[in-house]
Amino acid sequence: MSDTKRPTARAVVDAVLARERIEVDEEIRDRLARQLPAMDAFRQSLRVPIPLPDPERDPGS
Amino acid sequence: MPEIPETIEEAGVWLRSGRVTAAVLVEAFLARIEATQTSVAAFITVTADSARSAATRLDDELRRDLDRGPLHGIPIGIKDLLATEDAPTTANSRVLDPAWGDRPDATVVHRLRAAGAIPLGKLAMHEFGNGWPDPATGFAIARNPWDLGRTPGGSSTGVAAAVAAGLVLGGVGSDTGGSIRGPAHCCGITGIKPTRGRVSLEGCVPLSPSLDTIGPMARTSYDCAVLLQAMAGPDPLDPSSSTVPVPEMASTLDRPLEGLRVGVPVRAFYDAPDLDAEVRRAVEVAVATIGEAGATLVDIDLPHVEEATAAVTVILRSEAYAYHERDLRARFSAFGRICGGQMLMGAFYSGPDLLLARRTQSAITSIWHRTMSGVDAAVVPALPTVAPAFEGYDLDSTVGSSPRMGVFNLTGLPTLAVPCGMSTAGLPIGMQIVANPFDEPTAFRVGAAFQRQTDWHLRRSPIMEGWQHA
Repeated sequence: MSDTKRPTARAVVDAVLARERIEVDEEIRDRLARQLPAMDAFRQSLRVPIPLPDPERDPGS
Repeated sequence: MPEIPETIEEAGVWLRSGRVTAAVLVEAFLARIEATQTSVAAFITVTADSARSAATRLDDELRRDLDRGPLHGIPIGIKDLLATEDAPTTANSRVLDPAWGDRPDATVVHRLRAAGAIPLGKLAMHEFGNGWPDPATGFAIARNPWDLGRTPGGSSTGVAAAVAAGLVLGGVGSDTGGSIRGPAHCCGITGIKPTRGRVSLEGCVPLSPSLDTIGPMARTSYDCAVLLQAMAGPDPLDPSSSTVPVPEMASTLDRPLEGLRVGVPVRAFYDAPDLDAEVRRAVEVAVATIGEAGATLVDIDLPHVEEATAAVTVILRSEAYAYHERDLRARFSAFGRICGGQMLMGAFYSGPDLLLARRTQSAITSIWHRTMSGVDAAVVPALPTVAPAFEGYDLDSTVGSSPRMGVFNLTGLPTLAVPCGMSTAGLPIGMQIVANPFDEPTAFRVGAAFQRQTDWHLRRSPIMEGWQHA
């Protein structure tokens, strides 16, 4: 998706809160929008499986 | 005011020699609490009547040579998310139904009373153990006895502040992502997050049930060991409590460190760019002291801290959201502005996100436990800076779990926070001593050896120093 078509952070926040049927004010919506990139970064860092060392094949691992 | 002991160990000697009674201790601490409620503000509720009754009963027992052990007659404080039969439980929130606390003592409180400890009341905290001090919750905000313009750290704010101010000899906190160890670091006291399952969670208002851990806070490693001894053990009321036998927590405290291998994971925990140079230097000097005390220092790697921090954050936010979902929807305005906003973050993580976080938790736990099995303990910094000031704190930064502390909740490893230095501004610095699962005695042993070599744990905050001249 190009940047021009990507929803803004604030739009994502509004959509999630609407889905959850939670009413909050503008200040909290804006704070969540500012925090959204950090939340996305956490989510992305979980996408790559962590390789487990194999002690049978690599005793020094 | 009468002269008052400063540690549980010292108080035990004084009580048994007749130099002081539990009744005298209780009255002295109640007077200090009253004198500091507008400054330190550590307490939400003071249970003076029940404390006085218990002190009278316990003094009478000691006179008849009925000795319950090292906690007999020791005044303590309880974080206000644990149920106590003599006081309401608030979790520092208007959201929690007052009926929640209308019940008998939480298991851990019950065990401490049975061991002779005397709760003086319920201590301040961040709302539901989450966030940052928030005037919007309507509760007083505990302040750091070293500098009243700074936070005591969170979320066990009141326990840390009360111990550092000399208002109690010890207390019970909870730790989901650093809530015992961060305040210990900020206030220059000792505190342990035990192994997951070591202490029953029954009667505790949950934040993130798979990460929540209850543990003691006090001045010294010995004091925390005797508190944990009383608190630990399986509980039929909490299926998550472990049946692993409880060892003698203080049995090896006097042993030297010769023969112990202590790991130092420099790359992930010391080289991180956010770590303040003064904090890093203090912990490095402490590590050298542990080496001089006889331990063999070993380079180790505890990798994937970034992924571990992501996993603990996603799990914590998701579980907190699940617990509070109905209230967030029905009456969001009853939450504080800070806690409420943070609770909402759980709505932004999906079921698959949580499953991926669990996959990451499983892998990192396997790797870290294997690494730790090659050493007896590891030493790492706690918070990256000294206690932050209330003024100017960036709330936008409170997205994730603290990278050096939540990772030990994720992996379940017992972790003891110990004071190890002071900044040039006169603020405490702490370090974490990590041990293998269910081996809290080794963490206490390393902590006690360090505290024999140093006096950081005995430094008095300005509030505590004031009692010497009162």
